[in-house]
Amino acid sequence: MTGEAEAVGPPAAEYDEYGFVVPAGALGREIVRYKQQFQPKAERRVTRWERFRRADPSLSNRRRLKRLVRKGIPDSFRKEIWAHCLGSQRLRDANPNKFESLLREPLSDETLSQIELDLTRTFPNNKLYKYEDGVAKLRRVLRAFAVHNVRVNYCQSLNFIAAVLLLFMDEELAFWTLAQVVSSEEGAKGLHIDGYYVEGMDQLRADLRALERIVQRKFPNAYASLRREGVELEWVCQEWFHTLFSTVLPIQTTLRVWDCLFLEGHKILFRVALAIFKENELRISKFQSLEEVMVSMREISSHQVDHNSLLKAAFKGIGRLKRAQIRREQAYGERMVAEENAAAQARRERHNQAHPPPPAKPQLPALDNPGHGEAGGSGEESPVGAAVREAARRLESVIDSCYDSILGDGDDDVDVSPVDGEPPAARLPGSIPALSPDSVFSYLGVSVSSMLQPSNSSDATRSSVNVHRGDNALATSPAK
Amino acid sequence: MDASSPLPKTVHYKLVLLGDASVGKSCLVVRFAKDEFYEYQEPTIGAAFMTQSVTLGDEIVKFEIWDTAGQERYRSLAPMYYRGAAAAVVVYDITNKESFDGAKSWINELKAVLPSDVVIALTGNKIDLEASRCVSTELAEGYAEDNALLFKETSAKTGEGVRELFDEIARKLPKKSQDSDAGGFQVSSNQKASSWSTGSCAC
Ligand SMILES: Nc1nc2c(ncn2[C@@H]2O[C@H](COP(=O)(O)OP(=O)(O)O)[C@@H](O)[C@H]2O)c(=O)[nH]1
Ligand SMILES: [Mg+2]
Repeated sequence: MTGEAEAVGPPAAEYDEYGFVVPAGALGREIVRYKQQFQPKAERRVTRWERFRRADPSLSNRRRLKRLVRKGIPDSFRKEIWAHCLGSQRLRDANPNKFESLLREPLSDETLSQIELDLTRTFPNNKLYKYEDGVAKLRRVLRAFAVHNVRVNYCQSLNFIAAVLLLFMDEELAFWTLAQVVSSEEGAKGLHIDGYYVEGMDQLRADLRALERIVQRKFPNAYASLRREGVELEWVCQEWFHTLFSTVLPIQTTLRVWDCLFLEGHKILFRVALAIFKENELRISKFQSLEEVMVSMREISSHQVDHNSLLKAAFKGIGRLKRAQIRREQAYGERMVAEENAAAQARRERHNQAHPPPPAKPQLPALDNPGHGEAGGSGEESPVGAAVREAARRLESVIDSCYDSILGDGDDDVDVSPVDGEPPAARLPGSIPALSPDSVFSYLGVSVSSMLQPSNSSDATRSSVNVHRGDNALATSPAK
Repeated sequence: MDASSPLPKTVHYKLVLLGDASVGKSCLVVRFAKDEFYEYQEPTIGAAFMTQSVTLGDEIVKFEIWDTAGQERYRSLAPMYYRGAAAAVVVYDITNKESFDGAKSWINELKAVLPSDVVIALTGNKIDLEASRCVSTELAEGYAEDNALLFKETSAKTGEGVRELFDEIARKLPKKSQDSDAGGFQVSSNQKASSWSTGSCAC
């Protein structure tokens, strides 16, 4: 994969530049056609990136980086820029023997066999994974990760994420990058979505609830159409978030999404999901049966060939979407999920009282989680630990918001604004929250005292972080 | 709009497949919906959706089938898909004793959560591997009887029993009211889990 401008045209083999079989029929033709159409832009992009890398080798100009990333990272720069954005290169350099030593650690049979089961069925349509060589790489990345991240271990979906990373990176860097994508250790870099992949998947479910509320508000007709046919938004969108779109969008589009996701973080998942609704609003609004919704939504996502248009919609078309709003909706989602879990638990107990439990296996087995062992429980961390993690996560997003108020929150154009021009002088300080400890905590809505008191709730989904902001309004308004 | 169409009436039912990883849920659906069998069935992330119809007298029963993910961890997402189902097929692998325990645990969960008129079918799959059988037909049949479940043994690979399984489910489903042809769909609950926590443990 060189970034050189070579003669274009349909690829000689029926593989694309990433090793995927070009889909048959109209979709495949559309992908090839769009690639040709996009080629001049892609070439300009390469020149710009080369210039940028020469002028700013340490990538210190974050604003410039963000603008360039939003227009797409050329293939030849992806590995380096992803690893930079996520901090995985630093981790790798700082831990030169870690990957190899993780691979020497044992894993449970259950984990090993689940990984094996999935290896042969991860992108069987990609050249790399047709051969044992590529499969072996994927195996090692997933095994090292399972040892490294004890809470997550292995979860289906990670196989797809790792497999895409391996198209650009060697095993060791792919491993560190996967680690940072799932659960960042490096300060402000990386994502924090390990809750998508652990037992219960509470964070995923909460995010889907949050997305639902935002879709309902921004695209009421499309949303109403889904509901009219009895479709839950989460049926459609769960996989989008879980595999970070890699199993639902064309690969070229997935890569554009990941470019932004890895630099700007979690909110990009929301922006892109909303952009898919935006780009197809009219069609979605006219669905007439449940079957049509389910089949067409899959088709719609797999046909997002025009990645530039989708990204434009994500940053402009969908309108404003502040981090604070996403955070509020996430807090709402977390409450809904906690309620759901409590109701499910209560039902289970009521049922078990009526019918003594059979000597089958437990309803919710502990995590496949050897080294983490406090006695009993579901293997989750303590409420205080969860509170601290949560506070850290929120603090980070405040810091991010500060960036945003300097950089503009994603409302800059994707392709129109002059990259080399001066930044608009407006939008500077003003809206940055003052960062005294008090104001930070109240901004975060974290009750410090509650973090320090041991909670007697054993429900793993409830941390003792209380989110005060806007709760009441959200809890009661049906937003109609 | 109904003027001269003597077309059979189509009724829609939501059906969900549950069971441990690798017992053959996806293969069963593919066999039923497309009459095919793939050795390398792609892993199901969350759930996959498919439809297939069964003709029953003057009625077409159209199943809206949800095939759920196998990995244990995805269990927490299952309620998202079995909510509002009219029928559930709980699958185990006759060559794997643990998967039978898994099936029982699923049945317990469903009985605790779903209304009592939901049709639950216990299905022992992979009977083409008779030589390695670990779960006897008598044992499973007895369990199904005690719990008022439909029971069927199948092979997604050869197709044996698959059609019969869905035919029997179709026959056992409660008849729907005649009127709503236009909308067709009426099975899926329009409510969220949080609002249907009212005790449904009618047993
Ligand atoms: N011999 C045999 N193998 C089967 C049968 N059904 C499924 N399999 C195999 O069992 C494995 C898991 O099947 P799959 O449908 O993906 O299981 P799921 O996880 O329950 O969806 C695959 O390798 C299938 O080829 C069957 O009836 N007979
Ligand atoms: Mg499956």
